[in-house]
Amino acid sequence: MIVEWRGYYLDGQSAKRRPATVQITQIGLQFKVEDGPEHLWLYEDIRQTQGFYAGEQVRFERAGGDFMEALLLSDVEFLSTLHRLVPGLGQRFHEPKRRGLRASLTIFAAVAVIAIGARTIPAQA
Amino acid sequence: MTMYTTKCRRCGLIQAQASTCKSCGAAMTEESAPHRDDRFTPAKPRASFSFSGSAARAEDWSSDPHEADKTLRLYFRGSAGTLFGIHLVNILLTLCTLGIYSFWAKAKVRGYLLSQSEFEGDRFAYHGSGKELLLGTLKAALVFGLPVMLLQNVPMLLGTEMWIRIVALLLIYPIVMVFIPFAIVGTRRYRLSRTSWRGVRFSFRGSAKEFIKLFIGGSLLTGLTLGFYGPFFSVKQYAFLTSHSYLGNQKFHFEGSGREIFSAYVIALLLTVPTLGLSWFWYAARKQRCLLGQTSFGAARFDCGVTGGALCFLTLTNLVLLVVTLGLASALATVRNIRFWFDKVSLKGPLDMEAIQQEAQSATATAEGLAGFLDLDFDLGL
Repeated sequence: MIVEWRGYYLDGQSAKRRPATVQITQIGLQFKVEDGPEHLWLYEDIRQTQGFYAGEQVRFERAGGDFMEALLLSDVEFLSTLHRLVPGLGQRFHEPKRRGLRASLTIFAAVAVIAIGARTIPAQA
Repeated sequence: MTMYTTKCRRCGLIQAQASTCKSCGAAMTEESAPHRDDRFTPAKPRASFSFSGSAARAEDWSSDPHEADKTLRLYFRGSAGTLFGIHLVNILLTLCTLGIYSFWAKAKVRGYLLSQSEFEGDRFAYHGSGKELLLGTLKAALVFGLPVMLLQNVPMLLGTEMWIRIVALLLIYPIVMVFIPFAIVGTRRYRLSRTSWRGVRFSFRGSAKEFIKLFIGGSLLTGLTLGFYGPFFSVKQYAFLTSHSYLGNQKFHFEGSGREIFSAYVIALLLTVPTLGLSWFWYAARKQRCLLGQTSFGAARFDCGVTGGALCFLTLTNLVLLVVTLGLASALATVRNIRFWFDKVSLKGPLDMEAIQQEAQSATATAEGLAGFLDLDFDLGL
């Protein structure tokens, strides 16, 4: 079964965004821009710059030539599917399932900040 | 209900039919063809960018001439909770690295706030890095911090006469007077160059030399007139900073003068004591309405609906929140500030997306570091 995702392609030259249909392949993201050419972005050429937090659109950027091209997807489920279909990607792209771990780390940070503050403030006093 | 509006041939503002333009005052001729204003018609379902899975299909509505007359708004999609979490981790890492991480922390917060800011269905993007900010601060320390430190300490360490020490200290003032405008311009240049929307970078192309002249002249005149030149000076600064700002190849425009806010300034000044200073919120609101109301981008014009009461309420409640929580609510205050301004500011008129073409400019973070030294803050935290 081929899973297609709808997103937008920005060519980095104008502010016009173009609807695109994206497919996940083993070597990269393949997408067809509406009324335009088909692209294949290899995973090693692209980086994710947005989509790390809830409600944030997923943004992939590829620096090719003089302009920074970008591919935008609003469904964060895309990232989970990407990790499932291409397991070798590791930490190259964000995995939304790990957000629970981030929440735990934030709680740890809160406790650590309070502990450091509790030790520092009486010492200064 | 459908309401008919006209478009001013001079400034492009779309407004209710009247004999003169409410923005620029130009006579509205009969040639100004009426536009149907869709804001007053029942909303038709609009494809949203926030689709999931199979997804709706959203088009750039700027391609539809009727839709292009709509009011364009900014939205903030972030949450104070997430920002608070980012702050917590940033504080811990900054403590652990003896402050060095603070540059990366700043970049992270900016990245989050911009990526949660949405205009026309797309988020802004921040391209700055902590490394750039660190290097910028180091350079600023060399070009600004070192001379000031030498002027402050060397005469004392050498045991020179008192008059030499006084002259050395007095020399610091002209240095600061030059570096403040330099930092304002440089910070704007850096931040805009690291911000993009739909992949197109913003930029600032004003000359620092020109702004330094404007700033020093304006500061001296403001002092000489006991502050009465202040409104004219602040409008001139805004005009310079705005009219040299670009999104891609498209320029922002500003056509206003200090005259429009001078009376509000005098009233605020006279009411300072009876209102315990609260009158300045009304002045600030009037100023923002005036500044943004005269700012345009392409054929679209900004509009600001902020009122003194709302601004006063926001500021005072934020202050109470910060005091009661000992600063822990700073994330909430930041989010409230951004939501408030995004809610009050809009862009009216057509926006031609095809015309906005990439024209990126280079910039360094030195002035940003300098601004940090001078404790200058220029925006909402974005």
